[in-house]
Amino acid sequence: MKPRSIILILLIVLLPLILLAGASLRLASSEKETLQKRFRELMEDRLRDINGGIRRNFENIEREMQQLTAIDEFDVSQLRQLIRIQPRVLQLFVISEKGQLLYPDPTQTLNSTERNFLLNTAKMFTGQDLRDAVLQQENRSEQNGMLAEPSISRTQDKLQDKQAPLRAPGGLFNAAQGWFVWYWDRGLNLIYWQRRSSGQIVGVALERGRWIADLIAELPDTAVAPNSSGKGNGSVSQQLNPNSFETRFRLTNSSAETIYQWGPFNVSDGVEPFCEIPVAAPLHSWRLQCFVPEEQLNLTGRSAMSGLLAGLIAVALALLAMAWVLYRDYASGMREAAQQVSFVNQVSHELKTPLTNIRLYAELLETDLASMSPEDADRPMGRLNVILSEGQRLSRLIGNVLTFARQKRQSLQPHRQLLVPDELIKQIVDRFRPALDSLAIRIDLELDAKVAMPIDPDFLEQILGNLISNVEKYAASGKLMRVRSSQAEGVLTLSVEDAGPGIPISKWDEVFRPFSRLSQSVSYAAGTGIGLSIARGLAREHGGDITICQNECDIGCRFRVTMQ
Amino acid sequence: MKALTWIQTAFLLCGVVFARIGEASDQVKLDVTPVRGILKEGEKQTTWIRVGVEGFKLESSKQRPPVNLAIVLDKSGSMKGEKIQQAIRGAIDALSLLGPNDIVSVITYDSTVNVLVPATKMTDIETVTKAIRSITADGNTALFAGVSKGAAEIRKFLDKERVNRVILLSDGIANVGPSSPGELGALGATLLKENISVSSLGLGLGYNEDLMVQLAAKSGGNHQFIEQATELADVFRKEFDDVLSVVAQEVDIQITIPPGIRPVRVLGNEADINGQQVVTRLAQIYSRQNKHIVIEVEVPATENGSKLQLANVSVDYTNMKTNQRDRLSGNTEVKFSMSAAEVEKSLNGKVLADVVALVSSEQSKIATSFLDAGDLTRCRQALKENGDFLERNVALYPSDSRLLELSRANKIQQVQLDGVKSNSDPAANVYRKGQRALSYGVDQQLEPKPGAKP
Repeated sequence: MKPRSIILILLIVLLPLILLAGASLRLASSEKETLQKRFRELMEDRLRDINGGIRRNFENIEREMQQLTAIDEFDVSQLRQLIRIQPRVLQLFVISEKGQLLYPDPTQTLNSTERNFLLNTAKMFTGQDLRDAVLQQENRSEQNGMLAEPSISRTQDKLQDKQAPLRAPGGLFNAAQGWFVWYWDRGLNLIYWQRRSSGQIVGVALERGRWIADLIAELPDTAVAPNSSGKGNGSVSQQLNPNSFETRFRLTNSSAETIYQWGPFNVSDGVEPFCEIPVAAPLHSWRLQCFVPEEQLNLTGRSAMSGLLAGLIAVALALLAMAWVLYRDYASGMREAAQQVSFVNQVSHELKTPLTNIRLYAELLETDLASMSPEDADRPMGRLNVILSEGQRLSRLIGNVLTFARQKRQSLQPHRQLLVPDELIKQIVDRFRPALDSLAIRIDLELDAKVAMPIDPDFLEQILGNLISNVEKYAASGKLMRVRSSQAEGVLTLSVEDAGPGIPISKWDEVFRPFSRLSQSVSYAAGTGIGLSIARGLAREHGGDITICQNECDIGCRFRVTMQ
Repeated sequence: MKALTWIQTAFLLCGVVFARIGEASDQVKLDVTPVRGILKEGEKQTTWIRVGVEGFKLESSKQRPPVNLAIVLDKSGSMKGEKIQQAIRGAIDALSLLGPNDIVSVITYDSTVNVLVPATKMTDIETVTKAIRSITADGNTALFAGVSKGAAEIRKFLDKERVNRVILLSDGIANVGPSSPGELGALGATLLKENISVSSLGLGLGYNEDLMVQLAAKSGGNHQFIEQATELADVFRKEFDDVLSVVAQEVDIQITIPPGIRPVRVLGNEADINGQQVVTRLAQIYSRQNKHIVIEVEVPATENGSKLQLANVSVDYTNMKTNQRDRLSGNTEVKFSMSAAEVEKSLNGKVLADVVALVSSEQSKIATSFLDAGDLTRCRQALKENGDFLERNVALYPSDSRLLELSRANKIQQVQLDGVKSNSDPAANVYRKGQRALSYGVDQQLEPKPGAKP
């Protein structure tokens, strides 16, 4: 197959494939993005679920603490006893309506827990923070009536929040309650307070170690993976199922230290979480994080990519199949043409023998007729000449066909003999003379190639024959044919000139292509259209060329042949 | 027929009587004794009161209360190899001591926590042991989370009639989650309020003994320092034996000091001094265990010949045999005399030994805190002073072998620190762990002391 057709077929396959690949890549990358987005949303949903658990945990604690701090009258030993038996409680405190600390009373004897508590929280009672939180909360309760919204106000170090899932029936004042966050002992401490109807505030500081432990107890643990095989390679929905791969969830405090983590995926240090959300009130400053393996994220997009790849492969296969079918058709067409050529070739070959015989016997007949009386021989002689010239024409035709076929097979080699070109030229021209004479074409010979040179007489004959035959066929109207020859440095230059209609310059290249004719009309002079092509091929095989030159007097046509 | 009925009635009566006697032996005994029954008159002085409780004897293992155990095992990377194998073997071996009424859960932790066996009755021991055998070591040490989950498993079957205990094994430094001794201690203290104790088993020299001791001490559990992994099986068994011999729980001791006398400090257990009231809770009393606390009081100058009430003590506890809340009470008083000989004669040697042991334990803790701060000079000085104090008291009461032991231990400690240049020295580590374990033993009176036995 020709390289050109290979390239063509490749183009037919590759071009649409590349276009399709480009388009679907863009599509796939956007699909990957949406998938990852969905995945992120899914993980955030999980975090929110977990956060909901944390919120419920604190709501329970809040409820418990609300009951615990529902104290209007107290004596110190009763409070101390309460502290002793309540696991969650670090310390209780009571502030009078006027803002005075009633318990633990710094002016009375304190036990060690009370003393430590006061040392840690002195600023909380002397400063404005707790008071502000209480006042702010109460204002909000008054403004909003029964519907207090969770506070979103937050300061750097302390934050207040309030949530009132439970509300004792009664006035606005005893509705006020909330969480207060205070930092001591290298950590965040939670304080729950409520204002009683008497106006006094009863608060409870929770034991940090304990509520963290309780929080941890509420959160999931790392289940032992039953079987880690079958990871990946699932459908998209399976890949999006967070249980089908390893994750790591982490609860971090405001200093970004890990408080608790679960999930089998081992996160190396410094890795950013895949997604994170702030923890529910009152732990605003803490965060819930989710870590997902890098491969999983790629996997999420991979399904889209694999689908795309499959599509591309299918299209490529279809195109290849089409190209193959096309190629097969083309090849069979070529084969058919080759068969036809070969058939014509064979037929031509077969025709050569009988034709030679016909010409031989015609020549014999000519000699026979020559011996007869001119009266008797004149008429048959005229007819015989027609037979002979037509025979020659047929021989040339067959010769052309055979040469063409050999050219195609590239089995044409000049067989050089040392000959004088002019003698050959004369013989050839003489062979055409009767036909040209009958068309009243004058023959001018200006021969100047008298030095013998190695030359293939068949080549020369065929080249010159084809050129003369062209004059005969197409340029008879000019009534002139001039053949010139010259020799220089082993190069034989021939030229065949006519005074016919000529060839337009735009067609000068075209006429040398096989089967090309200046006019396709049927009425146009007979010919196969391969003569010039063959002539040029032969001349090139013989180390020369044929070119068309502008005639001197601007009429007709001049072919210039070189051979060496 | 009538005679027979009489005989039957007589037998029944006898039975009742015997039962009464039996019941009396199923009571915790309370003993309140001052160091000296007679004090010097006319001067303000410091004296000590020993409040001792003694567990009754658990007749047989059939009588023992059911237990609710959470075994929390460290399976971090440092436990790889021999350690984890021994731990698995030890735990499985100890589990064979449990019966079908007992509840057990197994929690493992590394960087995260795995509730390997959720709280379950010990009816299917195979499943539990199989799960324990599957443990492999890797990762970091999320000790706090492990204890949290362990306590949560206990809480599922939290019951006053059970002995609720978390047994924590660790060989390392907690490095995931809360990890300060204070935080772990605080968690332990809240667990005590719920009647859950944590026993901490520290393996090797790498663990944070302060953290492990605080956790155990504040929750009323045991702390054991295990130098070699091969000891693990014994330690587990010992711990289980302890848990299985609890006769009283939630032992709340309330001591009322009459006005005028000032309670200064309480040794031997965490206590609150609320004015004239001292309250403290012992997590449990083991079978035949002698357990005591010491109250240091400041007595005002008092006239010759007068008597002074020193303390009124009441003890409330859950009797694990009867599952009832029992109450004991006692009090003590001192006389005042001008005769030095009389004062000297009134010295109660056994009580003195108990007091000296606890005071010296406090002193050695101070020495260790100097070591932790890197002040080796003051550490050595404190140890020396403690040694002198012990020697003085050994001389005062030579018949108590325990004080001699402590004196000897103090000398060993002093030798251990010889040539130690920094507090990160391995020898300092050995000393520190030894001291903490010793102090812990003294404070908790875990070992049956020869001198304390009747």
